[in-house]
Amino acid sequence: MTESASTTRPVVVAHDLHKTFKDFWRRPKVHALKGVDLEVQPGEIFGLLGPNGAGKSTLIKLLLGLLRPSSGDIRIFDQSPSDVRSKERIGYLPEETTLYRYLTARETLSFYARLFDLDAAARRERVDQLIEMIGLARAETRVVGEYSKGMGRRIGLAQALLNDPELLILDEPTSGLDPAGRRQIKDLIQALARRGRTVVLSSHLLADVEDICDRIAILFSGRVYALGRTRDLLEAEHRTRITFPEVTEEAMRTVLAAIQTASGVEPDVDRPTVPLEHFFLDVIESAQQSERDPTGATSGGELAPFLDRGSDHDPDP
Amino acid sequence: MTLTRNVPAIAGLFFRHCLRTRLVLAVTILIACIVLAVPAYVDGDGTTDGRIRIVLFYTLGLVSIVLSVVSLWSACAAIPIELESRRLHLVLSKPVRRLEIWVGTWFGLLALNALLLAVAAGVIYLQVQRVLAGATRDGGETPVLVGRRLARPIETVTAELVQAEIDARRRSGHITANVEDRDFFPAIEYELNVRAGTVQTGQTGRWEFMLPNRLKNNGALQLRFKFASSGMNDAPRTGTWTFGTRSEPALHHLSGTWTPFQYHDLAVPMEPPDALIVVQFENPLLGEGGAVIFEVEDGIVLLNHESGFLTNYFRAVLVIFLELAFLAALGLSAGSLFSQPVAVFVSYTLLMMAGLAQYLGIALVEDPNLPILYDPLPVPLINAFVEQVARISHAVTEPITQFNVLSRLSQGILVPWSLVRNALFVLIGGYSVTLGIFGVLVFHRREIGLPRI
Ligand SMILES: Nc1ncnc2c1ncn2[C@@H]1O[C@H](COP(=O)(O)OP(=O)(O)OP(=O)(O)O)[C@@H](O)[C@H]1O
Ligand SMILES: [Mg+2]
Repeated sequence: MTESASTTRPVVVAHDLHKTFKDFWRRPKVHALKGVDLEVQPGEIFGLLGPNGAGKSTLIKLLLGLLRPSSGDIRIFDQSPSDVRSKERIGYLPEETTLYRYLTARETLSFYARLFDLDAAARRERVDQLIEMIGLARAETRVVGEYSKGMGRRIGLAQALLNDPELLILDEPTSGLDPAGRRQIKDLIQALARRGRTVVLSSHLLADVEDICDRIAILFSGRVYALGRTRDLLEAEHRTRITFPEVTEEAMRTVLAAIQTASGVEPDVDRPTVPLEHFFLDVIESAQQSERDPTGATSGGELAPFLDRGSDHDPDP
Repeated sequence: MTLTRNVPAIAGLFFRHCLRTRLVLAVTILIACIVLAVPAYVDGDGTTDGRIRIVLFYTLGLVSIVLSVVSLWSACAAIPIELESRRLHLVLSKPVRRLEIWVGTWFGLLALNALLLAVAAGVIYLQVQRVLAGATRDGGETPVLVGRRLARPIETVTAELVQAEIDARRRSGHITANVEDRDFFPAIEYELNVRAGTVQTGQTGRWEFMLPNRLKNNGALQLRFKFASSGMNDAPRTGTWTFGTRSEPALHHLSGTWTPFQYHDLAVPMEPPDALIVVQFENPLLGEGGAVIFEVEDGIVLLNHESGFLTNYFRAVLVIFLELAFLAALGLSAGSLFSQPVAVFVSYTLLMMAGLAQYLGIALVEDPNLPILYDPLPVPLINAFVEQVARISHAVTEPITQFNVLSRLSQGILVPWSLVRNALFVLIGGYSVTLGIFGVLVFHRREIGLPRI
């Protein structure tokens, strides 16, 4: 997929993108995005990371044309996001699933399917298959208002896939899902990527992101602080660490050969990486120091004193 | 074209939503209560016709008020609720234009209104049939349950006559010089009209009617009249009607006794002449009770049966439906711009202002050069502004007022297809489309990305 990326046009391009939320009197309130530059290539799984209020959802809404940029440029499939034609090729899972509470799962999906150019038979087929896929076949006749959070989330995911989108935009896809559901989403995303689909997702679950994203961007307070291939970012540069005590090349070859003959498997030697969580926290920490007035949540301070009352080190009466 | 794909989908969704939220059920129950309760509380004149009039006028009137409120409120809520629940975000992430959401929701509202109105009209129709079945009638057509075209007498009180009367009173000193003519005009005009409708004892009143070009029902005509007795009691009055032409005004006679303050319907006992029919009423000398005074407004009219009740009723309901559709467009556009409570407030305020403009506008219609402000502020600019606002709002709201079908229907007067067509042009083609364009433009410009609060 990386080979084709250089020859084809990017799916998403943001250039010096700014978004300022204004109040009723048009006075600037929050500068949510401050010059974001990024590109997403076809077939790529792109992760948007960042603490609460960093601007991830804002960026996604700009991508969907729900919000308009204050300045800068954003293109999707080389079109303006306000052009409805781009929507034919997009699937979107919002941060919180909000569904028509009085419709059943099947009616919900059928409704969204009707908004695409699909004939009745294709619609029915896709709805059937998606209901099966998200594991709600038994609950399909219940109204979604009765659904649990995770069940609703699954419907949300299914509606995003109805048009077999070329670009899937997932805002915190795994939130509210059980471990099996999370696993399933990760598998699904990877399966779609293998078919050449592009996925943009935001998430706070760094382990998941680390598992599946080809590239990531870390946002803080509306600015991109890290952008690149996941592996490259996490790679501890210019270091090769082998989890053996110091050995010579020859000794290592012998060791490897020995392992191979002993266990019958080929040992993998590559550069070690730091876990994404460490990397992420490092980036955010340094970003926090450079940002004088961050827009989103900061990492917070000490335990609130009243919550700490009566514990060992606080002899407050 | 995505319009034909998305609009029905969104309209269907909205309609289904209304059904499932039991809005339709609740309103239907309310309508049933009104239909059952109103005849029990409103007392008629005791006749079957009177009871039917009440069922039609008050019940249908009240029901259409309830439906207007439902229409306006649900329209005001439609877009804000989608926005605040953030369901709109998801729909807009599909290939759907905002125009399609607006139009689809409007169609959904139309379907909702059509359903509710059909239920209400059906129940009211059954109620009318029930009243009819309970009545012992002496045969003949109920004068209410028809659609008849109406002919009014040729006006005898012209502007010149009024002016001449004013001049005469000035000469005789009844009007002092410091009062202007126009302050007196309406009062004198009314007085002359009352005089024209008054028949003293021993005298004969005379009215001429231009008949409509094409008379239906073999030209059968009814005379409808309502009068007061100068004695101001309700003792029945005797008299003789005569019908004829200008050359022979008394071709046919019809004597009888009638009670004051009620509508009476008489079959005109002659073939209608070509264009003009002369109707006279003789108040006999021997009678007691003094003068007979026919009401100024529609005290004497001729009616020609043009359609049965059901078709007339259908057309009236159609006009009401178009009014509801207009209210839906108003609410929907307000909701495209404001949150629900503000939208409700704004649209009610606009409607109230429209009503006020019409009320104030009576002066304007009489004489467009008349100043509106009787007590102007000392700032000419503000006065001019207020006047302009009053004039414009009067002009803008004027066309809406012509569609009062209730009084026609309850008097058995024809609601012509031309009225339905006018309503379609004015209420839908004019107002709703204008409001729609405004609403869509506003909605289109709106940013949709509120954070969850
Ligand atoms: N409609 C709005 N009006 C005003 N401020 C807004 C609006 N939407 C977002 N913001 C602000 O913009 C900033 C970025 O918000 P955004 O929702 O993009 O964050 P996020 O990265 O998605 O956070 P989270 O991880 O909590 O979902 C926040 O400071 C938020 O308060
Ligand atoms: Mg978010």
